[in-house]
Amino acid sequence: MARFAVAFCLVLGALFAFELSPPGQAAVRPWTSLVASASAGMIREIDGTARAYGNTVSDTKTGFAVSIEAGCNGVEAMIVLLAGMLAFPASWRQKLAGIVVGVLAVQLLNLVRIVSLFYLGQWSPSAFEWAHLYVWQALIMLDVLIVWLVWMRWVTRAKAQ
Amino acid sequence: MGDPREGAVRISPVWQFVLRAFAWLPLCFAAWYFAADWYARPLGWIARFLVSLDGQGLVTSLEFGNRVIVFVTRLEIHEGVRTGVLTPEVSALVYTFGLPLFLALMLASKASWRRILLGVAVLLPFEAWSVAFDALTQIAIRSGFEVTVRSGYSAWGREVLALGYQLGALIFPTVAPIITWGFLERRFIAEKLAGSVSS
Repeated sequence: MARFAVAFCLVLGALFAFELSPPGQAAVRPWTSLVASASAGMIREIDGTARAYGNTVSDTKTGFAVSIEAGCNGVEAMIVLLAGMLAFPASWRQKLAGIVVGVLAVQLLNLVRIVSLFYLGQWSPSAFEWAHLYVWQALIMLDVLIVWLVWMRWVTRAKAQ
Repeated sequence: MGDPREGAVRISPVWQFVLRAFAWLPLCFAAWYFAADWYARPLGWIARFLVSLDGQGLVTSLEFGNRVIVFVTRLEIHEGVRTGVLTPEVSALVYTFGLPLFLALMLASKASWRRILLGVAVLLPFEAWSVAFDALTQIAIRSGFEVTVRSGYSAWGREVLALGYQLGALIFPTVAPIITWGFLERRFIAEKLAGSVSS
């Protein structure tokens, strides 16, 4: 447990430091644009009125727009998940499988978050604020925890067998 | 007579735990929101202590109201003929949304009240860090050139504040509740969720 906790904090710190560094930011910016494009694509599938410019998703009819900033692009959630999986004693094959499935799960839910916020913002600013600042933040972290727990159970049971 | 449990759907302990956490989450969010004015007090006091560690004595007092912590500073600001003091405000909700998540996780793992209170006490300094660095960046970075100069922070000091703010805004509010729950409930995780001892 102590070894896992120390390894988790070290990996988390290293990944977070990399995210804030110039090369990390050079990777995060296009990633955020990709998230914006994917969100606009999902919205277009629903009612066909969204467009993405850089990290902004806008409604072409109403002009309403949401900007995807740090904390909303799912990068921090992925960092926490990566740290949890890399620090846990498991084979590299298990870690890789967990990271691929986990990142997909986190990013899919993050897309649902952005699309839901896009519609909530046009319906009620106070509902948008609540969902954006509090509820979705907690749900994304709960998603990370669920993915990690399911993966950790799979790893532990595989080891026991 | 056959076993009544025969044919029943068996849910894994992880999903039982997740369902319990989801059931507790709305109640915990409501409790957190309505208790925010009280919770803001210890949060503000610890944040003020953290701000005071810079040794500059920028904050002279705190004010509370409507789920907001107001840091009253000694820095004068001038607007035309009017003069006032800078009073950065920080919401008591923005950096504490992890608290209802932590409470829901603890209740879902059927933790004792003593442990829950211990966890809340562990989380407070992390939340206060976020509040303190928000207030400090408002003072030293986000209130205009004149205030930035009079705040006394060097360029290097402002870099440290910006890093502390990033840590307090992006990492602590989300990670601290999960780590605190994981540490306090490590036995529950190992015995019930990992399935290494029993499941």
